[in-house]
Amino acid sequence: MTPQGYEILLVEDDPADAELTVHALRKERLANHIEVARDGAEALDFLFCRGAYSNRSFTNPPRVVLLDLKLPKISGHEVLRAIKADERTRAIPVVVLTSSNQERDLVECYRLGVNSYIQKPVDLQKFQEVARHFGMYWLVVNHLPPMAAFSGK
Amino acid sequence: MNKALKFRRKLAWTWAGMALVLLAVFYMAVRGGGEAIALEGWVAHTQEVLRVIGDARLERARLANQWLTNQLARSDGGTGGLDADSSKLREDVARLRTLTADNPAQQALIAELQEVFDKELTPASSQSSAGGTAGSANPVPWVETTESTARLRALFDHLEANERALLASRSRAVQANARVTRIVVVFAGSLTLLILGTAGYFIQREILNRGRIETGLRKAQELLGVKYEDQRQELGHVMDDLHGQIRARQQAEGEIRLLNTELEDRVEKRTKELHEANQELEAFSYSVSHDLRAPLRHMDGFSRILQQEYGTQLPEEARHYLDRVRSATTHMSSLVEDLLQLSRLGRQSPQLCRVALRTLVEEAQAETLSAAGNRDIEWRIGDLPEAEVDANLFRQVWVNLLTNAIKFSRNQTKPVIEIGSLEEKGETILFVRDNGAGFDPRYADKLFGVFQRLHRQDEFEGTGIGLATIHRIIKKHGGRVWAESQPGQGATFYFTIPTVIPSSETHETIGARA
Repeated sequence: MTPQGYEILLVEDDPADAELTVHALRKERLANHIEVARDGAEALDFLFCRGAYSNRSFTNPPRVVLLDLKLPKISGHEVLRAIKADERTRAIPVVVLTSSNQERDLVECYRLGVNSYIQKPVDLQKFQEVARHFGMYWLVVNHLPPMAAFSGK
Repeated sequence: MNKALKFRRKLAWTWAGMALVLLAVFYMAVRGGGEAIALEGWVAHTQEVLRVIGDARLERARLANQWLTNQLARSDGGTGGLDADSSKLREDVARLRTLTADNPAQQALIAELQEVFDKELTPASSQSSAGGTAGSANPVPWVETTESTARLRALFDHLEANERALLASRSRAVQANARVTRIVVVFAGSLTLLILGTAGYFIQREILNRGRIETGLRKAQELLGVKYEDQRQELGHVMDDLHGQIRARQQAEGEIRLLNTELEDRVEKRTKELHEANQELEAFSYSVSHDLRAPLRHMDGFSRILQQEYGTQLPEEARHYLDRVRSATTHMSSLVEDLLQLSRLGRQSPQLCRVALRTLVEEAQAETLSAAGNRDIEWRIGDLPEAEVDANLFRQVWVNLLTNAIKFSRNQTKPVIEIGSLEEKGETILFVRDNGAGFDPRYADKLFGVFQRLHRQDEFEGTGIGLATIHRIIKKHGGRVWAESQPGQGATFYFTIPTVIPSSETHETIGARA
């Protein structure tokens, strides 16, 4: 865990959803540093250290990206494709967190190289349960490679 | 036997008979004629004989007369005439002998006559010296005796009588023959006439018959000809009709082809439109599933956070209102969920495969047991057949039916749910029976409509979509669904599974996903 870095990038256009997710993760005390991007473009700016995030470094990526699929401007699929297509960002785990249970989306995401696909439970209690599980896994259990190896620098 | 042949044979016999008769007649006539000619000859012969006898008699008389005269004038010594006369007599006797050569009686008489003459002309005593030929130049010694004259007369008479008797007997025989011939000719003539007449009659009859038959034949031929012509004409009409029909059919086929092409174009257009509409609907349902559920999730999520984190600080009434918000959210959520399921059904084509319905029932049972809680339900599951159905859709049918059964029997102290099948008129009928609240059968027809409910929400919660979904699934499989009930006496839901799936229901849009 990098102290000054962001542990989680949440890409969610709906503020209510974002708030509920953040609430669930904070309640479990799994993450203190959560960056929320409101659309695909903002998410890509953050990940590729450009625009408002140009002062960021590729060597300090989030430990996990929580990606909604239905996003304004650039869709979650395109964000996923961009992350997995670039050498510098490929190693970042991407977890799709969506309300869609459509097979087409599921297949498409795995084809693009998603690391995990979670359908948001409608029930808050269940969602909190799920959030606790994936937070524990990606932030505590999972090991990441040194990002310098992928930075290309 | 052939009639003509019979007739010909009869005719031949007739001709043969006639020829025979005619031959007989001819023979008789010829014989009769010959006899008549012979008789004529015999008459002439007899007359000749009689004449010669007459001559001889005359000659004898003349010789006797001369001899007498000589006797009276012995001195003359002339004998010349006498010589000539005697030779004449001898000639006559010789001629008589020749003429009657065939008659021994006459020959005997003639021999006797000759003897008498010889005696008269050459008496044995006086004439032996004279010697030589009696008929020559030697003078004839004549000795006439009364006795010899009488004797000669008797001989001549006898000869004549014999000859006449012979002629008479001969002419009698000829006459008898002629009579027989006449009778035969008359008879034969009559017979011939009769035969001719009969033959003529038969021939005439035959000719008439033939004529009649020929006329009949001709008529029949004419009739046949007319009929043939009629039939030919009729056939011609029929052919014309057929050609007409063929032309009409070809025209109709052409029109049908044109219409078909048009129809195909239209179907293609409609299919395209339908496809577009389906895509729109898909987009809509996606949007519903995604966008409609999100606010519900938020409402539920935030009200739950309120309850969890600030519940203790809220007054009792505020907590009650929060409960109301949350239950409304849950209800709306299930409404959206059920609607999505229903709309998804409309666009899915059943994936048919052979499944044991019992397996599906058991899976549905497991899925609904959570809804049943810990309540003690008595399950009675009978024999269930295998069926060619969409397993997922049919599992949904069972889930909905069992959920209903559990829900409406939850107020029973001993809930009983019975599942089984029956065979009726070649159909397999499946049923789910509960001993729950039941419903008023007057509203049974409303049961399977979307959003139709027969119970108040505070009695039994529900969306009014579950049975509509069942109805749609069963209809998609070509079956029927109905229910029987009385209030308070439980309900039985029936449905059939046909073996044939209507093709219109199997033709669905590809890519329909909710």
